[in-house]
Amino acid sequence: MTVTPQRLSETQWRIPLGQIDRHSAAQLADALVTELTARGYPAAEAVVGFDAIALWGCPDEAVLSAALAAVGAKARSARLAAAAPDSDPSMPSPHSRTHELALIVTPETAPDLATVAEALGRTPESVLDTFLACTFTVAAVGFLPGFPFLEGLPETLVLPRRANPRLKVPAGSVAIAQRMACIYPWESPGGWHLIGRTPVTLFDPTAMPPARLRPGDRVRFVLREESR
Amino acid sequence: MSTAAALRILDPGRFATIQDDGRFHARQWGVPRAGMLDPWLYRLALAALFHASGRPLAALTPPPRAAFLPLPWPLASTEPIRSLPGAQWSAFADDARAAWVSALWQVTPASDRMGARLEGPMLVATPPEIRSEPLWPGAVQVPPAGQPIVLLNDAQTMGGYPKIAQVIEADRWRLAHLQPGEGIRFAWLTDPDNAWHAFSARWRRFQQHALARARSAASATPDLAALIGAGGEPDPQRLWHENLVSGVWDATWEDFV
Repeated sequence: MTVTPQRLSETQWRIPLGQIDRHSAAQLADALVTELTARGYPAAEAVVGFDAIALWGCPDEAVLSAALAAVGAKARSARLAAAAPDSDPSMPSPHSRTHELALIVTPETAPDLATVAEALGRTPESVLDTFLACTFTVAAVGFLPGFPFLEGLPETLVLPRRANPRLKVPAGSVAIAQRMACIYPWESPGGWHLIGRTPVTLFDPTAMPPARLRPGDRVRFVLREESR
Repeated sequence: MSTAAALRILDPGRFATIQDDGRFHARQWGVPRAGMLDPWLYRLALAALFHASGRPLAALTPPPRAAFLPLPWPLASTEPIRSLPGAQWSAFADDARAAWVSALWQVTPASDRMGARLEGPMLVATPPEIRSEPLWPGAVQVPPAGQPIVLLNDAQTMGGYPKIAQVIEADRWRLAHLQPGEGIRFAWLTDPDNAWHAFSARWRRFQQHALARARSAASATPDLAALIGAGGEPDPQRLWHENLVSGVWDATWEDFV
C-alpha cells in the first residue's frame, strides 16, 4: 500500500484510504497511532473518515511515512488490507462485529415516517420493512460523541435531508438521509428524517471504549413489540 | 477516571470556564479535544501557579502568591493569521480564494469555543456541501451562507461543509483572543514546510521571552523560580517532567527534552 499523506497544518494530516473496507481502515488507524507512539509521538491520534484517515499529532513527514510503511507491511502479513483494488469499502469484513439494536417505532418516536413514505410513494409499513431488512456498516463515528454514520441504505429509501432542520432531535433517534442512516446518541439539532428510536446507549463515558460502535461494525435494527 | 478528585466552585464569576489540556485519543469516538484554546498562555499560567503535575492547588502551602502576577504577553501580533489551503480548497473559485486573504473579516458575536464565526465577503463553494469527513481545530469551513467559521477546540469531530483553509497551529490560539466586532486578516502560507518552521519559531520566542519574563516577575516565589530555572535558562527537562510544557503543542520537543 502506497499512500501520500496530505499536510493540513504543522501536525495535522489527511491520509487517503484507497479501497479498503471500514473494519480494516479502523485497524489501520489504530496501528498507525501505536506505531507513531513507539516513534516518539504519544499524542498522535487518528479518526477514520469515508475516504481518508485524519491524523493529528505528528509534525515529521518522514516519521509518518515510515510509520505508514511499517503499518502497511504488518497489515499485508496479517492480511488486514487484503481487499481487492476495486472492492466496495462498505462491504463488511469477516472480522466485523454485528450489533442488533432495538428499534421503537411509534408516532412519537418516528415523526417523519409518514412523510418519508409519502415522498417515496410507499406505505409506512413497507418503508419500515425495507429498513429492517438492511444490514448497515458503520462507516465513521463522529459529529457527536458516539454518533455512527451507517452505510447500506438501499436506493429505494434515498431522500434529501429535511428542508428545515430540527433544532432538537431527541436522543436515541434513528434517522435516514441520502444514502445513509444514523443514530443521534444525544439530543441535538439535526436535519435527517426520524423513523424510530433506539433505547440502546451508544456512548458511555465510564466504558472503554466509550463508543459502542466503531467503523467496520455491522448494525441491524430489530423492531420492539410496542411498535406500530 | 478518579472519583476522589473534587473541585468546589465558590464563585465562578461571569463566563468562567474550567479548562485542562483537553481530551486526547478520544476523537475516534466523536469526542472533541476541548481544553484550553491558547496553549502558550495556559502553560504560562500553569508555570505562574507552579501547578506541578498531580498537586492540587488547594494543597499548596503557602498559597500561591504568583496567582495574580501581571504576566507580560510578548506574543501579541498584528500580522495576518496564517493558513494553508483547506481540504476542499479547489472547490472555491479564484475570487473566493483571493477574498479569504484580502478581506478584513469581522468576528461576530455568535463566536464561541466551537468556532470563530466571521463576517465578510460571501465565499461560494461548488458543490456547497460534501460528504462528512473528520475535522481538526483550525479548519475553516464555509456553510452555504458563504460566511466562514474557523473551528476551535470544542468543534464537532466530523462535518460536511467545504473547507477553504486550515489555520496553522502556530497561529490558531490568536483566534481565542478576538472580541466580537474585531477585524482580522488571513494570509496563505504557500509552502507547507514553512508551517512547521513557523511553529518552531513561535515556541522559541515563547521560551526566550515569555518564560524569562515570567521568571523575573516571579523571582519572589522560590518554588516557581526553582521550577522554571532560577538565575539561568529555564530547565527544559524539568519543565517537561513537571508537565509545564507540552509535547503536543510543542512539537519541537527533540530540541529541548
